[in-house]
Amino acid sequence: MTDNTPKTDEQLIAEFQGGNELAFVELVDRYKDRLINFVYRFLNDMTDAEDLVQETFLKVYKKKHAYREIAKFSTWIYTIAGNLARSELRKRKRRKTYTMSALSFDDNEFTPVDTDKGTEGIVFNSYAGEEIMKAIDNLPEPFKTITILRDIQELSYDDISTILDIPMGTVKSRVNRARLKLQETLSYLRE
Amino acid sequence: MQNNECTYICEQFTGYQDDSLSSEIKARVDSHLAICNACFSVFQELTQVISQLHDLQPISTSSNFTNDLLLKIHESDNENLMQKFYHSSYTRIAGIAIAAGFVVAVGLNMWIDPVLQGNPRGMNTYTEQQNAQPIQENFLVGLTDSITAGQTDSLQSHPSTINSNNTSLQLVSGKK
Repeated sequence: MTDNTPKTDEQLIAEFQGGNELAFVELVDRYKDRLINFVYRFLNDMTDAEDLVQETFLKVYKKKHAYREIAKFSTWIYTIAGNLARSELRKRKRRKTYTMSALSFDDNEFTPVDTDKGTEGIVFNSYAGEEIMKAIDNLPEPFKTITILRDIQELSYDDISTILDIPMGTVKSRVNRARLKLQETLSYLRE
Repeated sequence: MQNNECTYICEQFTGYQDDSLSSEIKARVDSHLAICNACFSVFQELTQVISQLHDLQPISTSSNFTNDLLLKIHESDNENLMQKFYHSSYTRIAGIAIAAGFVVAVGLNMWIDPVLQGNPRGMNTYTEQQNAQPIQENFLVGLTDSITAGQTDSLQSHPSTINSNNTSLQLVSGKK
């Protein structure tokens, strides 16, 4: 009698730590789309986002023994991806590549987001989606991160608290302020 | 935000939407939203924003993503092996030993080989069959063979005698 219950992430990483590389491939398949959705919202570039997600998995591969079962595997991998995404954003700012997020609304002309990026899988089926993306991109970094984690990735407050290493109360407060900021930004865009 | 109460109520919106507020605070929010159009408007827009965020089109990775990743891992493993080889302390020690051996070999070759010009030490091993370089007249006048003892000449004999292979080399000073 075989057990068809899918293995948990923690079981898979334990098997991978034991040398089973197929377990690693299973984890890649489970998390690649979740991570690309997470990272893409930071970078707004599909090629860069895929590179960054691959770098995340490379780190997981090389540092597999750094994972300890005191935390969920999902929070560990999101932490790695989030740190890489923030580093990339800081590098872009240093290179003085002015993105929408680097300029205030006064400096920006409002133009619709270019959805034709020549990459796969990106379909914005409504103008509202473009509006939302622009509004998220213009949030200050702490609010942007929390919005992506809570309202797009739908992670729990507990997980977000672990990933960002901030108290639960701060998470809830920041979520609220980020949503209000988004609402304010969208009202401005619609004027 | 019209007043402190509005500010307080807006701060509760996330908890209200998560249904995590106490019954007292939830009732307070409900009462305020019933009478404050501004806050009610913000609350409605906020609900709409959250709904739009949840409805964002999900993105997928490219079809080659996993294969490309495994290729990168394989290349990375090979690089690591080469780096380990070059940076290995055993490799370094072996390299230094080989280099040192080479230097010693060249040095010894230069020391031993008498053919090399300008190497005064090579002269010590010069055999008697080789032609010696001229020496100052004051020191060497003639070479007497011990077998042909008694040969005399006008030169005075000097007590210093060098014996080598049954041949006597008398150091004499020549008188002119």
